[in-house]
Amino acid sequence: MTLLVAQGLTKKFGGIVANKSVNFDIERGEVHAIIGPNGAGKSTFMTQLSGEQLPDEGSIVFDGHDVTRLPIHRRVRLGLGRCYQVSRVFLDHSTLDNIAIGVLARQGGHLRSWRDARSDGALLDPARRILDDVGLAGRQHVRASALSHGERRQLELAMALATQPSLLLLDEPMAGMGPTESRIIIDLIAKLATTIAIVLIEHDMEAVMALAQRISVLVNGQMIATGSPDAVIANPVVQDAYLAADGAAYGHA
Amino acid sequence: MTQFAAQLLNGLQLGVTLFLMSSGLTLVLGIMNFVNLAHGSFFMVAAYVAATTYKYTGSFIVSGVAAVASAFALGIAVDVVCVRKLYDRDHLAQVLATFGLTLFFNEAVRIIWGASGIFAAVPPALSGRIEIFPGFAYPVYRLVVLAVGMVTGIVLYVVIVRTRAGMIVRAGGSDRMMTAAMGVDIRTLSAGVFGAGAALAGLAGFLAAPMVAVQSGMGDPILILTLVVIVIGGIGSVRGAVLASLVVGIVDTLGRVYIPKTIGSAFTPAVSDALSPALTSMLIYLIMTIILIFKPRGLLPAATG
Amino acid sequence: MSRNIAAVLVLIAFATVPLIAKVFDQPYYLTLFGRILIYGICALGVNLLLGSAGLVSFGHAMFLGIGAYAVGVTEYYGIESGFVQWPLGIAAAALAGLIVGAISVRLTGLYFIMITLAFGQLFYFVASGLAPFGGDDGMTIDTRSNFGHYLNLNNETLLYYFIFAILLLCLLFLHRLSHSRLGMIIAGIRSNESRMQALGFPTYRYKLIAFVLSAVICAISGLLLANLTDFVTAQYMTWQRSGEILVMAILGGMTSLFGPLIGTTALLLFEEVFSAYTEHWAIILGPVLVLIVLYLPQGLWGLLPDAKRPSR
Repeated sequence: MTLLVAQGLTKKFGGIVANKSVNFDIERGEVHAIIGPNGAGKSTFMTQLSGEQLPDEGSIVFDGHDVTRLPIHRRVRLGLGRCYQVSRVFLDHSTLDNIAIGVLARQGGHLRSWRDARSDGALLDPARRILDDVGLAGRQHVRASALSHGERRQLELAMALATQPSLLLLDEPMAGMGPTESRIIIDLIAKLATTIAIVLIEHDMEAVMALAQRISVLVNGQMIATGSPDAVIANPVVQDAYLAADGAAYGHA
Repeated sequence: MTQFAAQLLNGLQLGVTLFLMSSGLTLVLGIMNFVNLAHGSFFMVAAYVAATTYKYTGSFIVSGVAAVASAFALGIAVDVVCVRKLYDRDHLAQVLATFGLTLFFNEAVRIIWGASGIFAAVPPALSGRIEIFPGFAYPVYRLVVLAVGMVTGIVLYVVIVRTRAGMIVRAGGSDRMMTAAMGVDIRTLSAGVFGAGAALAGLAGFLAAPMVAVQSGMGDPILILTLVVIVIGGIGSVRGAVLASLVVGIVDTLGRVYIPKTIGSAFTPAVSDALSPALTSMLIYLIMTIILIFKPRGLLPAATG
Repeated sequence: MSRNIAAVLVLIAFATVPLIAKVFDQPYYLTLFGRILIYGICALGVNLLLGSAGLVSFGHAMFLGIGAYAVGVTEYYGIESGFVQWPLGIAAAALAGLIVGAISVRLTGLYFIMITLAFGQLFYFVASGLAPFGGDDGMTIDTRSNFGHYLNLNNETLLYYFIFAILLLCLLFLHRLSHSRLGMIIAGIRSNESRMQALGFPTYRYKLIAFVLSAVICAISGLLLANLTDFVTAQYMTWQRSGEILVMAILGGMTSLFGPLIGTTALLLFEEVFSAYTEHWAIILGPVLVLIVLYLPQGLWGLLPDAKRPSR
């Protein structure tokens, strides 16, 4: 069942057309990756889905709701979550507290409850479960600033998970990861993908091939191909466009 | 009619003063991302220096040079001693520190020149009025201020838009790393921009000295008005500063003259006395608020904003 | 010495002021330290916005003024009952806070500063234009808030302890708030507002709540100030006053609960002591402020170790 449909999404910055009439859809529980050279407009596309930018033209329908111009926090509450390329965790809080804030976002009672939030089981128990799910058990009291790059990425995922998304936007989750850390993240994403739909922007083709059920290719602001991973990789148009831009752009994640 | 023309010119002239103040401040804010509440102090110190120098030399030009030079020197000094350490801190720290500087300068001028302020004379050659059109005479000095302001505006435009130095200045704001990579020393650039901003404020202070009371704290109301101008025009935008300065200068001046008149004729004296001072002073803030509601980044926001 | 112990000592010191005043026969101490406590309450209110939500308001003195004028204006019309004045002042401040906040909180950074400054100026100009209530020259208040036989504020010592009690209540309230869910959200907004939005929090709403709460706290300090000084003037609402209160909060340390009170005490005592020696005491204050900003970002209170850092 289709969870999100983006149609005719167009975004311009001054004279530059970053996204031109982009169509995209994703089903429940599907992993749909977007690949393309640097500067193709992948991040711009992502920001329109998340709400950080509003499209000049086009529409986005998520879970039956028209979210095209909806503020960020409203989309999140509908179940559209996002993880960031540059980790934006709360550095001076502990790992557990970071996740707890995410849990708090989902729970109500923001104004009614007067008990100490930081020792509130209603927040901490779900947070601990998520902590375990992402593989950070044992790091709960460490300050986020002291986590390794990979652990911070896991924390990012945990925080997004806490908001109970049905769709997760992942913007280059492998960026800056060594092979061991990458493996952990790939496994984690695969595990999440069993219940959550994921839009994945990545340069790391190993991750893309391991995770994606569908791949779309964005070049110069336009979607030039969509289909199963094998079909897309074998597509000569894709090979031309990606390889042509390859020398300069590919690999600079 | 002549009254209106006179007030309009007065408004333009206030606009010039505000432009000189705001162009420097908005550049520092836009390029260095630095909020400088001590900007009013440069205005004040220059006014004091101008008045004193004129008193001892009798030369308007010399006092002008002294005023601008002292403001420039003060700006560089302030940058080196204190401001430069705050470029990486948040705006709040900058606000607080420069507020402290303002307190210091306000007190310093009282110690040096005494608490009651000093008098700045209009040079005899520039005093008196000139007939612009039959029946309408306007003070020569104010016309000079207008002229100087316009010339400065043109020079500023040429420098920023058409010279290499100006390009570097603009680039310095949007990308400090790039500028450093181009071989320009960021610290020299910062000091230069800061000093230039101070010099512009000094010019404003020098020109304003014969027209206002030269006293401790004279920079504070001008600073507030300047901040309003910058916010209305768009932070970091010199074009915005030009537009907003004119708007604020004219609206504020005309408002002070015509609002009491309209209110006075529409309401009883008691209500009018209560209402008009509040309204005239508030007018510019109301306009700023309304503009911010519809255009939260000002009228002509800087492209790199 | 840890902060908690120091804080308790400071509070005990404040509690003993009336005794010391009696021993040295200096009733003036009650006024001086009463003022310090009152501005401390206001600084705590401003810090709710500043330290917790990261919003720098250059107009919060307007709420102090609303509180003070609530007493002044009602007295002018013959209403002396504190049971009318106080709820009125608090309600008026809450309403004003709601309106001003609703508009201001949409903006950030310098724009927020300027718009709060503009609103502050608005209240100031209106107040200074109201001739019957004294404008800038001010108006004396003949009787203090009348709470019947529950509380006689005309007794200076009792008034002092009343102020002290309200300070304690404020500290307690703000402490509980910072540990509550709401406090966690407000702190998160300060830390990274867009992150909070990305988690699904409607941040505007919470900033507005913080704004209104801080307005009410400042108004309470204004109600107290009018009672202590028996005087109300538009000068209570200038932007310079707002700036001074910000200085008090930051000087003490805006990242802590107790810091603003320390900052207020330091600033006002400094003024008091140095103005006896020289009329140019401000020339020391300026550089001191600069030095603190440069080298003590956590304020004076930051000099003491904090028992509970989050790396627990």
